[in-house]
Amino acid sequence: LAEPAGERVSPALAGAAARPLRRWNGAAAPGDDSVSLRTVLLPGAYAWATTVALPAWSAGNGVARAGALSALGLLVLGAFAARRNLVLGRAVGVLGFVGLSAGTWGALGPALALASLDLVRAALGAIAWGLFAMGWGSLRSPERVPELDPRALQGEPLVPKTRLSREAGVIFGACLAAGLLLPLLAWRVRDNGLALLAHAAALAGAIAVINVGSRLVLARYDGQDGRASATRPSPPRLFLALFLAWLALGAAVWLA
Amino acid sequence: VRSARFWAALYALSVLALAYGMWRLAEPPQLAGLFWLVLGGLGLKASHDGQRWLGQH
Repeated sequence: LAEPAGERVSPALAGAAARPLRRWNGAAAPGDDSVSLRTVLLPGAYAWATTVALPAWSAGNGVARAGALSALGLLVLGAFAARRNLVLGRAVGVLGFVGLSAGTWGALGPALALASLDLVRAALGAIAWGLFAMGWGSLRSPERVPELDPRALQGEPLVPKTRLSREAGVIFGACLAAGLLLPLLAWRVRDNGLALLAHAAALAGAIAVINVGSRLVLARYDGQDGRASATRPSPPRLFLALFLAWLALGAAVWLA
Repeated sequence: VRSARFWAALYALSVLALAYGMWRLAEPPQLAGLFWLVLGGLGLKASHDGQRWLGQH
């Protein structure tokens, strides 16, 4: 009558265990919601509408419009195909959609000049393209339990040494917001020659800001007390010296 | 430079320099924007090296 608590399996877990495991050759089992239609189609359709369809219909020709419609078709086709075959769906929905969108931009030619773009709409479209890219990431379906995988190592679950505090989440959120701010500020640069440099610098800067910011947040969980002992080797000073030298150079030029 | 707070403050200053540089890049003279961008980049790299050093020692 008595059932050991550790061996009790809920009906939901038993049902999940009975399901066929997803094969690793890229083919998803029917009904596997690894690619969500919402996370792919919504940002993809918005990015397409703002950055592909709008210029194609406002200033484009028949070739550009045909390319834009074909791109939308491949987006929808790829999203649905990914539910059956992930590799094929990604090939169609990512490569086909992005490729035909790029082809549409090529067909637009000078009509796509920076001066004729709506900056706010273009910036929102850029964000939608980013969300579209992230939407293709595979997500574990909620009813799949990793511990039920026959390849999982059985045993006591590992206990984390510590947990991140709410303050750490707030600081990381601020770092993330700062990282996202740079590409948005880059849209202010209207000069055609400088705009590309601004966007490249903003992208590199955003990656660096988020990367260093995450180190900053996690540093306090490395067992550090925030202050190094005197026996440690000297800290890196090269880029700090370059930073100060560059600052001094700027001050000298400004005062001159 | 052995304090985590020093590198965190340098990180914050660098982010501000980057944001201001990106803002100034849209207005003449653009060299001023480039100056702040380079300054922010150097500061970020210095802060990155400092954070990594703190984590290793």
